[in-house]
Amino acid sequence: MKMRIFLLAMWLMPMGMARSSTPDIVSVKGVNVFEQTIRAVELLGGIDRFVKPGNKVGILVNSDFREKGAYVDPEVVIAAIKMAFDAGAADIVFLQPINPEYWTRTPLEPEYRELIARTREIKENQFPAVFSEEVFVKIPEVEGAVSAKDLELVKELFEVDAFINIPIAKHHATTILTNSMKNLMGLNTRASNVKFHLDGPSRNDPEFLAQCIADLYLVRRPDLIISDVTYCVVTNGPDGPGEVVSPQMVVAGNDPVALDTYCALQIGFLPEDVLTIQKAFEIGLGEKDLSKLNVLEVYYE
Amino acid sequence: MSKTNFLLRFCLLAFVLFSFNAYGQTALDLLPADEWMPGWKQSYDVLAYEDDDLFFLINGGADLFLEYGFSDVAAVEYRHPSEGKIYIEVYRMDSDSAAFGVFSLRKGSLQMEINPSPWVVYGEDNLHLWQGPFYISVSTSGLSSLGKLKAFAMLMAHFPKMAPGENRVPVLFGNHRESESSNATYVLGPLGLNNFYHFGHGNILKVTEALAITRDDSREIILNYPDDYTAQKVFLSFSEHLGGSNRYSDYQIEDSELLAKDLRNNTVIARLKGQKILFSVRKPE
Repeated sequence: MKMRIFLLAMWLMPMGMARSSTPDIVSVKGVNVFEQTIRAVELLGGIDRFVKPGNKVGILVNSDFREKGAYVDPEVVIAAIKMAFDAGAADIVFLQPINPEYWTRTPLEPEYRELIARTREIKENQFPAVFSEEVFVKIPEVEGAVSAKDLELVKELFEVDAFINIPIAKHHATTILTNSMKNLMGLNTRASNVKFHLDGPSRNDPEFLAQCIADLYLVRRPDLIISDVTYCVVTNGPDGPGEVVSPQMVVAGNDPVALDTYCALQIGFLPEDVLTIQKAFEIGLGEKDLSKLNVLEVYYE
Repeated sequence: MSKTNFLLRFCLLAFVLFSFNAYGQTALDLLPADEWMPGWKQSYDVLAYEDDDLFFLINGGADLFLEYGFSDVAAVEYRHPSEGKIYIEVYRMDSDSAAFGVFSLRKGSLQMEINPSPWVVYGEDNLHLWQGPFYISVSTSGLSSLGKLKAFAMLMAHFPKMAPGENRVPVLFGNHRESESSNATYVLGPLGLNNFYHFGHGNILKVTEALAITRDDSREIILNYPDDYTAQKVFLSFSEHLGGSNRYSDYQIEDSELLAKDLRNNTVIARLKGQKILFSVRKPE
């Protein structure tokens, strides 16, 4: 099938400012999630920009929910592993295990079963992950972090050449938005995550939790983020069921602040309400003013 | 022993037994034993957690249970060699209201069946029950339709037997019981409210108790305060906040009613009525 792309001429850069050749964020709207994902990465400069031949690639996916709109569409993940293998990845490891049933939620599963079988996963990082020296590493202090300390993170995170983060943009009662930044809590043992919730000035303090999530990003920044913004739970998150919106977008980039700001707006949240965006901006993780960025929005038919 | 003495001792024993039934049971006590249906056995040791350790059972959403008032939980999977799997979580909350709150939240849009006890809702593969201070979640895998019906019927009889008593509905919910009970969620605290509508950080509305009713074209949120004065104070403070917030436009105020458009172009109307603030969030036409 010949692919057709309709550029919506949405370069959100102010006139007169120098525009970089590669967009900071690419958003591909459509109804074919697999192809939208491929196209989003191509327009971001291609998978070769992030994965080199012989690389070991780590992927983190928000897959551990049952309700549609609360988990990443498996077609996004299949597209990502296809691209990574095509780029010459020698080894792809899921940093958090994926339930085999998850893949059957897409009709593409039979076609890509063998490809999926070539990947590995860190089974021990299954919820509620418990620390062991074989699988996790302790990080007492994080340079530049404000609140997070004594982390216990998946060891292989530090052994991969490329790290791809695949979240879904959706509601979370405490952080309002969960997307590229909050997804990184999937790298932690449960004990580390519980500290994020409970070790603040008060129990489940939203400011403390948001700061810890932003700090976590300082440990190992993902090289590529592919966010599922196709069908998203916007109330009663993170597990749903709840009200859903359907922006039908796959969004790619590698600035978590910009990406979360953009995705928040697509699902009807005010970025100012999302404390992770504010905290991450304050510690220099990225740009929250989209008018300063090169945002490319296209429609895939 | 005199007759009076005997009667006194009998009454004391009855009181102790009654107290045990009402308050002494933990979530663990309510889980069905092996062979609760022929051939069904626990497939691993029961997982049991108290207080903040709930985070080790729930991946996403434990914070809400804690805000409602959580005590302890027990969870286990039962397997039958040929019929499938049933996973049961029993949560003991701090009060009947708290248990009802999480029940009304977790059931989603499923229609509930109101009995003296328990209150139940069925999904395709799951069952939610509210019985006194307990909220029970059941999910099945691999069972036939008949097998599911049989299992659900057994469990609906089992839990009231283990925790007898009539359910006490929160007063705020009781007012809406007849008309829209299936669409209403009982909310305790600001996180619960965030699940329906986010008014901004910092508990601007000082919410402790609310009822959220979801309809096709709108949501009604009823915030209940201890007295008229508190409600009025919160309403005034909220109207000041609304006027200066960039999340709302087309802001209007008239006597005890506020009207504005939010970011999704919903019409938000707030009315002060006695010790309640009534919000209506209507989708754009």
